[in-house]
Amino acid sequence: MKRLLNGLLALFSSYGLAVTLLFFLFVLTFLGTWEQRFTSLYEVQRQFFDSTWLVYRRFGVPIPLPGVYLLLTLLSINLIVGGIVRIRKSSATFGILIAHVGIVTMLAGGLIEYHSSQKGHMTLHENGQRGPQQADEFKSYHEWEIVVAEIPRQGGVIELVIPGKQFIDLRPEATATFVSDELPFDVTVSRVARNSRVVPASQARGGGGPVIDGFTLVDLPQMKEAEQDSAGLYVTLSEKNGGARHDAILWAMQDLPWVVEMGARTYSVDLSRRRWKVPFSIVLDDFRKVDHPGTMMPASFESDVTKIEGGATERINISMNRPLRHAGYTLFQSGWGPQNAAPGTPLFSTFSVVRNPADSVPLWSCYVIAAGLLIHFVQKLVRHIQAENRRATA
Amino acid sequence: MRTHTLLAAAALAAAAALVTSPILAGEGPVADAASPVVRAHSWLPETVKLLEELPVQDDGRIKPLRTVADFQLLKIRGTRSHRTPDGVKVKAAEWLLDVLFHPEHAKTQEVFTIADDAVLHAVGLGHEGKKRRDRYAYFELEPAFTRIMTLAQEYAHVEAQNRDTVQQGVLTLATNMRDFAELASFLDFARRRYPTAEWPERLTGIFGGRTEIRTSDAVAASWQLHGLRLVETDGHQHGADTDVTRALDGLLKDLSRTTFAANRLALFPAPGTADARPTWMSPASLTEQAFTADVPVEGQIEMLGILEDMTDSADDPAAFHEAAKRFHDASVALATGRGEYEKVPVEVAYYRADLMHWSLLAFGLAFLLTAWTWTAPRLKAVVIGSQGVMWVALALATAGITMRCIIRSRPPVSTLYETILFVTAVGVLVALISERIGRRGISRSVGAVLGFGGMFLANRYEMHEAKDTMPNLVAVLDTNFWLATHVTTVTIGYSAGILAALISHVYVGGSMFGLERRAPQFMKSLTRTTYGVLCFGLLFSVVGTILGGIWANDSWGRFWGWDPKENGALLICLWELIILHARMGGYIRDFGLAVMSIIGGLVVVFSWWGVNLLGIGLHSYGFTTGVMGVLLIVGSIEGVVLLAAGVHGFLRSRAAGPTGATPTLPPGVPV
Repeated sequence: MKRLLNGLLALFSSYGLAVTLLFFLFVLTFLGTWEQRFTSLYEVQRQFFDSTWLVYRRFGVPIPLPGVYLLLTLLSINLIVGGIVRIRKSSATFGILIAHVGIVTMLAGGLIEYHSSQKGHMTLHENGQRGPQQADEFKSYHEWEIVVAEIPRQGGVIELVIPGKQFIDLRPEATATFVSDELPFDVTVSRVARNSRVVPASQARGGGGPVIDGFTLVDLPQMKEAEQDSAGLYVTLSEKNGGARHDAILWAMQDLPWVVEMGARTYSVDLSRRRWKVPFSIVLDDFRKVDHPGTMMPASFESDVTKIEGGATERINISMNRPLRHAGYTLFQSGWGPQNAAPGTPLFSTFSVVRNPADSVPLWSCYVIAAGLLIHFVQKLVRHIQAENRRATA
Repeated sequence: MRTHTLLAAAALAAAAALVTSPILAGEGPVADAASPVVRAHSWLPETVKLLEELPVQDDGRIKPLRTVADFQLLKIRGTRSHRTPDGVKVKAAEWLLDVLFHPEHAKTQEVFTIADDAVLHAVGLGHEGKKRRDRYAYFELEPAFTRIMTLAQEYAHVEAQNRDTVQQGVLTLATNMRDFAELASFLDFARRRYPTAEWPERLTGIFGGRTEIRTSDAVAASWQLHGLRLVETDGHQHGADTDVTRALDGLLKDLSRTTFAANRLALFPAPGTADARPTWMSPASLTEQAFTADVPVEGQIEMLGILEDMTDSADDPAAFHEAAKRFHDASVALATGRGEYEKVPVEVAYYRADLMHWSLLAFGLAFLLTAWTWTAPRLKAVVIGSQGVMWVALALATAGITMRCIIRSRPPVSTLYETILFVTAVGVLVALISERIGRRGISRSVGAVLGFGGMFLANRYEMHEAKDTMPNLVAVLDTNFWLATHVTTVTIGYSAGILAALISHVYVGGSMFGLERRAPQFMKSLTRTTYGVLCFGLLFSVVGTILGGIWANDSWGRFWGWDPKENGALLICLWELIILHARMGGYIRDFGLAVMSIIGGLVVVFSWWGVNLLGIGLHSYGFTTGVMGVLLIVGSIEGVVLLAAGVHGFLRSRAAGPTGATPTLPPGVPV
């Protein structure tokens, strides 16, 4: 047992493992970059960088490879065991030790971000005529959810959410049923498509699913930019105790949710991007795109917003490289439109919204890594100069 | 990409309208196709000097007219000057003055480079007596103007990467002819006279009863003309049809038509402050402004009149100089009042000094001197000379980079062109410091190669792109803090990677010639230098890459997005970490370190240039065309080097036997 443990310890602290892991990381990073020519960054990230393993196919040959998630996990162990715990502690390795601590810290930050960050966008419209001018929630770029809400007659809404992870990767022929004690029916989803379009059955040319109210859902290839995908699926609400079944198509591009009446109760069912609440409201007062004089090249994008929190208001300017950081959330100026709007047309402004508990970790780890590498480099340089001086005087 | 092609199509469509220019439509002096007109005049040197310093707003920034002229001629001809058939050298600024003030002569100058005569076949032009790649005058190409523009509009809709050489050639020719036509017709308004003989007295009275007026006279009287119209129509915009309104409408239509083409150069600083009114005016926009604006533009209208004086006196050098000086002084006074002139003379000085060119020559000389020291290492004077010339070359490049920083008020690296300059300067500096430590002549030699190669590449890149190398930046890049930290550190990392690869070439070459056996100390010194440079590079690559992530976190809301450019930087870090860990683990020795450093150089090239060619990602502002061929050549050469190194390594290990008798450092002991 002890021999086994020692063997494992030797393996996990070895240069050989470090070189192997770094080499595979190199290969995957290169392949992941190359593949972006053909597929969306989101898909590449899922396949190469967020995975524990993958099968890469080239010229019809399947090549099994470890995923970056697995590699980084092993590299962290290798770094901790070999680069921090077992490394010879001396002045010569002091810089390396510090650099390793910095890298482990950064990887830990990455892990926290990967598992607990929220990323999405909030789009607000000037003067609110063509969309919301104020919001206290943001939507995911890629994640989906089904929201089942009861609309009580006395007002207010009771929501139940089915996270996208539980249905979006279902194979076309598979179904999934969701049950809740709070609902008088079960929810079954089927024929889930990441990108789809609802068309009249007569235009489907045999490519669609079942026809409901004269319409069918047609599966489409995924877009190069995954955030442009419009998911769709078939949903069935089966009243408990053998009651009636209600079928519908849910499509992400629908403006309004599907509304079902069951006796005296009314429910709405909607497929949409995942949403998160923020503990404050943002109102878009003005958006400006300033071009370099006499050109159409943007010099700056900026939004004047009002932050409302607990009755207190604050005027804030958000622009490129100057985000709003508040209450653990960060809002970045990331988009605007309509792109070809005539002068005077109300514009919309899109903010990327991120909640990342490890937001400041990269900066601190950068300081640590820089310090470690600098110490190591200066030590090597001094030794090199001394060796050359000795040679010259010999 | 799609937007670009549609914009190109729209621009070419607009160009077709320019053929209505009297000069371009052949109403001016027409050259005899059989015998090109020899340039019949020359500009006073002091006039050229004066106008080179004239501030212009072009591509969103204030720059000297010289810069506009340089890059325009570079784009059309591929050089910054040309020679007339009688051997007179014509500088870009002189050529631009020719085009503006003597378009009929400029049309006869052979400045249009056609890289492949198949382009002429495609547009239906003959090219008898010319080489496959040759230069043509505008008047030779003019008969096919319509055909060229029609084809170009068609080819503009083909994605850039799918165009063949003829399609690309036609597009290039079309845009060059459009540029020329815009400039040649720019002063049509200044040559135009409006006869007043048939006008009613109430209209001629505004102009003091003169028999003809100039464009500037009409623009200066804009409010009186406007007032007259209101009186004539009794406050109504439509409905009155009198002699006065008919003449007035005719004048305004003429004015609009004549100034339409005068849009290419924004020569007039706007009234007010630069913050309130950042956009300068061309004659066309000044005319529009005069009739509609709420701010006075008298000073600018006066300049419009001076421009007409310059046009009138184009054949009289002394009178032209006097008018040019008045225009220059008026422009400089207005620009200075707006705080927009102070960098213009610095930019003129930068291009006049041509520091990068002199640096290239100095590096070339340093390389020759260094090569001499290889055959005569005991010649101290040559050794000192080569080192001295290298320092001079580096000083010239550094001075040039510093001037660019002053001109644009930016850190040293913000464009691909500047990365070449910076990588070269830093690489040479590190090589010289390394030489100072080692004193073996290796780093000096490698530094000279890097310096010459880098400055040559910068020169070729500037010629190939033929665009202002100090452009405005897109919004996300417009931050001096991150340009100074992330971009600078990452670029230093590139520099170190390239330098380590070059030194490793020397090692591999030395190994092939048996120097590991015959000069082990020399070879060990090479390894130490490579290792040191790699450590230096890793420090800057890692810190630069993380800083890039922090910048991305500030700008886009995520630290790492697996964007191609980010991945490229990561690839450099990973490869250098692989090398150093493999070295420390004893998996590679000196020869392996050298071979892997050469591969590291390719990784740097991929990250620096290659990912830009993928045409994807958030760093698309780094995209550049036409470097694929160069990258393939570099990749092929390095492929041959690596193949030779592999064969040599195999034979070497067989000869050394199973115990490996080649002298190396013991595994696990970093040098």
